[in-house]
Amino acid sequence: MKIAVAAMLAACVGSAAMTQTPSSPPAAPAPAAPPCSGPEYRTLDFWVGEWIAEDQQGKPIGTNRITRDEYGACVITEHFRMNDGTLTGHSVSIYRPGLKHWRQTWVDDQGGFFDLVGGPVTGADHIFVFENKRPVETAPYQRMIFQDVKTDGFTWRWQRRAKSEEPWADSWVIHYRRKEG
Amino acid sequence: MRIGPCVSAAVLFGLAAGAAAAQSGPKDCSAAAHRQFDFWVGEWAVTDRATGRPAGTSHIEKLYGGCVLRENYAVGNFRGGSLNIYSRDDGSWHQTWMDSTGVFRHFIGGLDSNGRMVMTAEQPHTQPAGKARLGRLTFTANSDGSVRQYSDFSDDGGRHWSLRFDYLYRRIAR
Repeated sequence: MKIAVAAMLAACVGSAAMTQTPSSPPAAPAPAAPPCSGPEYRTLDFWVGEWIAEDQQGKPIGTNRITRDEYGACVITEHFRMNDGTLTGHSVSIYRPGLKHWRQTWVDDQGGFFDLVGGPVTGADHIFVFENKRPVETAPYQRMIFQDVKTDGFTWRWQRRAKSEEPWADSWVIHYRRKEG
Repeated sequence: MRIGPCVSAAVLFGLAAGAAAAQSGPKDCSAAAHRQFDFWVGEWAVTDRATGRPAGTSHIEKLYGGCVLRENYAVGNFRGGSLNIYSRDDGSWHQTWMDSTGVFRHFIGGLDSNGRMVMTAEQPHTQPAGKARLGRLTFTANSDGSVRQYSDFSDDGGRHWSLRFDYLYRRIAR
């Protein structure tokens, strides 16, 4: 799909004009901020980079390349690949200002599709979470969390629980180490 | 995110019996359902059907083991793209669109009885007491190899629909 770009731009211009009060002195309009330029769009930037994915024993199992500039500054894009070729996948993540949350779509070469909602977290053992929108009511709850985030690495956990009142349990843990150079 | 190679998405989801019926068959994307949208794959010049004016270019790639169609759309400085996939979990096609103005949409649907790919998204209004707008995409494979993409929307739950755009995709000769 694609939105009607011209209509959207016109709406933005109209909205900006509405903020001018009649008594305001004539002045050159301030340049509009570029899309997705607020700090809320940057809360996932710690993930951006070239990463080596390692298992819990420190053995490299794959690579992940995360970018933030494929669609202006709006979308965080992931390219994940297992070294043994058993899984290659891709995700896109975007902040939704009206709903104040992030959405992520994951797809892969096994036909996997995940639709996730989340955002930054405070006061927990992780700083960011994405939880799946369950495709059927009987599907388990699943989420990913990012924790121990440092410049050169972090821990990623894929967790699940059968019911909302149960504790989360790890089903996959990856340590990410930033590629040097 | 990513899913462990030893645990397929189907296992992770732990689907109910009804949905599990749609899971039978290969756990790759060799089943025919994954090819239902292949008519959109290609390098395209996009025009507005009403005016004939250029409306951008689009590159639709088949990626990730044939499981995914990735749309790469550009017009002027605007960039947008979508991921399109047939999900075995619910037997539906999903399109998630994101673009350089910050828009996100999640369309869900499938082929209709005429072979058109029809997908609908709920667009939550943020205004007080606002209702969700429905957005709909309809893709038609024309006999000459071109593709029509028709987009409309409804603010009354699908009773009445209004045109958003009506585009024609023609293949760019290499």
